[in-house]
Amino acid sequence: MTNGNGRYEAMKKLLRIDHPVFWMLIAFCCWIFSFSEFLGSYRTLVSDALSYYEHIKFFVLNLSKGVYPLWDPFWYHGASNDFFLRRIGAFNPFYLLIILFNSIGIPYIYSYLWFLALYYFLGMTGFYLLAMRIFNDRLIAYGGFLILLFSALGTRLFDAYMMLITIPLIWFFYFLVAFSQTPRKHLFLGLSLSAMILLGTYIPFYFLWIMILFSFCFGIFFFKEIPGVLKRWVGFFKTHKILCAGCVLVLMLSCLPIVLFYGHSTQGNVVLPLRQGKANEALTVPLETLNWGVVEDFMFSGYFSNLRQYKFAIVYIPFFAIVVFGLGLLGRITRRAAFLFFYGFLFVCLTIPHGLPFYSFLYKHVYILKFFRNLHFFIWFILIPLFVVLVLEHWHIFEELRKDERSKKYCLGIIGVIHLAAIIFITVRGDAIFSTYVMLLLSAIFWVGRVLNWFAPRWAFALLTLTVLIQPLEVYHHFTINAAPFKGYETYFYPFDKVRFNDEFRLPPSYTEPAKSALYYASGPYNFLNQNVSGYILSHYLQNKFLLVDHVEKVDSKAVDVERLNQIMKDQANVAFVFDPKQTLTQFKSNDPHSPSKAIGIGKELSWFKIPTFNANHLRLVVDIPYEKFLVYNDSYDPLWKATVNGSKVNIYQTNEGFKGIWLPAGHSTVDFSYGTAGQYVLNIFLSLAAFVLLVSIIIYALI
Amino acid sequence: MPLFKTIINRTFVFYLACIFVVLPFLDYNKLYRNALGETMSRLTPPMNYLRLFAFKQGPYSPYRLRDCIYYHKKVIEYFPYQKAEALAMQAYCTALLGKSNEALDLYKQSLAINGDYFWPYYDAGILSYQKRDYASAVKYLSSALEQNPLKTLYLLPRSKVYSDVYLSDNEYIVQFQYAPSLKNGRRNSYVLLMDCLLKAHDYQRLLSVAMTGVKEGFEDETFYYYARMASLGDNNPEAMMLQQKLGPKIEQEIKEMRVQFF
Repeated sequence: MTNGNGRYEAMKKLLRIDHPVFWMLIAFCCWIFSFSEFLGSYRTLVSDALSYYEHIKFFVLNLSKGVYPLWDPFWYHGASNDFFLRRIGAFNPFYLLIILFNSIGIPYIYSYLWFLALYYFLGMTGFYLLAMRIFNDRLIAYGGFLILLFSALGTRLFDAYMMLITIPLIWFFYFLVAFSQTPRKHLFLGLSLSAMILLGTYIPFYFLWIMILFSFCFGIFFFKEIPGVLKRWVGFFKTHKILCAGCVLVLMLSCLPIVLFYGHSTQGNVVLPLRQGKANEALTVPLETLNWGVVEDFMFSGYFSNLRQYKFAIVYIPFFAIVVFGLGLLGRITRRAAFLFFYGFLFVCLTIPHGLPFYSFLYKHVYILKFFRNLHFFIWFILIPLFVVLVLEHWHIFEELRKDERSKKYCLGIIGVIHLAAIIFITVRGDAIFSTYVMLLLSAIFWVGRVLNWFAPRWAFALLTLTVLIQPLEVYHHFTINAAPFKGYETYFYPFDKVRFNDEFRLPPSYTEPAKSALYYASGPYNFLNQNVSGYILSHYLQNKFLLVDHVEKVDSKAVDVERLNQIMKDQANVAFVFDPKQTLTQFKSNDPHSPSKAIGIGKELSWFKIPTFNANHLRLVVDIPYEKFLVYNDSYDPLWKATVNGSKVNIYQTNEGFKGIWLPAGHSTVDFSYGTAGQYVLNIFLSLAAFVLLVSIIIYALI
Repeated sequence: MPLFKTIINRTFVFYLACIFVVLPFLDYNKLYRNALGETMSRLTPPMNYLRLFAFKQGPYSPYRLRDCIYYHKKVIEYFPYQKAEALAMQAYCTALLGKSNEALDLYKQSLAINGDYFWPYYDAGILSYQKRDYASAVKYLSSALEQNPLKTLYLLPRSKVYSDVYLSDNEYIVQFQYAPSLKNGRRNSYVLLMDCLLKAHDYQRLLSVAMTGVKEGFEDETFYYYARMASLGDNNPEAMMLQQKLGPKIEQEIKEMRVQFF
């Protein structure tokens, strides 16, 4: 009871006007107000955000129906879904929020958008806690929270997927710092969970590169502290052996899906032609495609710095941060400031593919650099949060200076110079918005007040909130009117439990052969068809999801007669090309005495051809045919597919280069196609459960 | 010495030192060239311009038009690969601000870089007509009509400057459905060209243009009006009657024509 009362009192304290939690909630409400048109779905998601929205939808809606979708039958006529699961970080337990919202009747689009907002707030809260750990000052930590919350990171929820990495990364660093300071169970579990989410993405190399450089810089600047930190870690490991072993095991297992996916792609079962280019290895990216680095993104943002024209992908941090940065420039350097600057600066220098020689050198010699191409993503993953921490360090430096009674005049002088310089700078540039001037006025009052101790904590929080927010509120107003309105379009609008027969091809009347373009991601066999069969022929061929043929022709997978393949697809000939590397095919002709010249195309359910069960990983057909036939299922071939006919296992043949084919006996048959191995399901479900258990454990241990 | 120590201890000194260490390795031109590269994929103008211009929502605000000009000046400055389209957009806004001469100059510059796009010719034709420079109007409008419509249609989704205009209306719509706006633009060009030729008393060419227009499928009374006017020639009472009857309607139609980029 006492404990309960104590917790109640603590909660009440959190919501007092002089506590940052109260102001954090106010700031978050202002953020929601700024982005209300996006969160209310009046403005559309664009670019990567749209595809992530769709893939997460596909994942969570399947999950809510008890299906762990390892295959996506709707992506270019079927492809392994492993890639998209890795892209979205499928072990992230916070996706359960979407299912929760959806299950209480909130439409998916709002469930998803509100999840994004809450997830973002969670990340910013992590940043506040990190700043508290580093600076041990509520006002500074709250300032950092405000600056980061209203930085351009928030805009990228709606056009990119950065937050799915940035937020676990912020929490990872919080847990890392906190655990290094005070090793406790919930901090270690948090470290494991955030690392697990980061390592489970399809490109864990961004995270690994961040950690390699961090460790290097930390080693240079805090070499003496390392033994102390290690001692604390080892002490914890010794006393919590089972917990540590369990977490390490989960971490190692969380890397396994991406390793398996890598293996699957090296066998050519899945390909990423657009990304891979002419690179030899699967999943690698050639150096020529690395044409947009960190500095180019900054330059682009600089070219279009008129905030009235603010739009997606322009780097923006509330101008108040620049003022604070300026205030600390004339202060005395600290080891922490040197470390933070050096780390960020090194990062920038090592991620410039053109103009500096370092990146191309590292690309040749550091293996992991061959696996990621969008170097400018580092701005959003690490450089913006890092810059905000550096700004807070400058704030800290200035605070130290102002606490010295002898330096008060010096501090006031610095405030005057910095604010004057800022006014001149923005006036000379000629594209300032009105709120920037107001912010500078408020900022001057805030800092003079700090130096002369004018404000009680509650007023300091209030004025800081107003000062930081005034500019971004105007910027995001412009941002909203610059963004495209929502049109309701999405690829995954159809139900996932129905086979799509031919509704994806609506050829315009004047349809002509389209130019061949590299696909982003597809099954290897389908990619071959896309490159070698006329788009017009392929589109018409795929009008029928299923074909029944009487003749089967064995072909060599290494010497495909492309011209003939085009011809039989065009004519819908009563023959199928089959690869049979294991030499198991013994039957080449059906017993139908009235064999037609064309294959029987099935573009919808028929009385003798029913589909009683369908989901991402499984298809059940009930077929009643008078003669035996070879069934071509125009869904991509993958060796992980298995089939049974009336309960007996049958071989699936790679048919017509890209699809699946099996022999069907005459009469009534039940055919089951299912994807994936038991091991794959067990691993994925185990890791998802493990992540959920970790999250619950963190909360419980943190509250104890 | 203490002063030196005080200065050397400042944060900005350390930062500058880091930057100076790297400067000798930096090939700024290479970096700059790369940032201006063709790979640029986010050059689309802000949506508020597009809504304003492409979808004709609300009145033209001079404030926003000036912003749009500023934006496209930046595009021209930093992304030379998109110069023709950015110049045309700048010209379009300048024309809406009422600065016809300046707009015409910009259209000329745009056409000198890319002469395959229908709309700058069309706009330059309208501006010349409004200035009563009928000879130039004939030149621009004839060039507009000589353009292959497919080249104009294909430029829209390919151009970084125009692609959002094209996509924002309806992302999944096929490009062929945009042909009506182009068709309407071509019809307007014929009408203006015929009017210029009528004013210049070039009846032979007027008849030929009217017949070409009819062959292209514009079989309405405006075309027959000009064809009849061409065949009747000067000082013909029937021509005067015809002008009295249909002239004001066509004049009104011409008055309502305006510059467009899409």
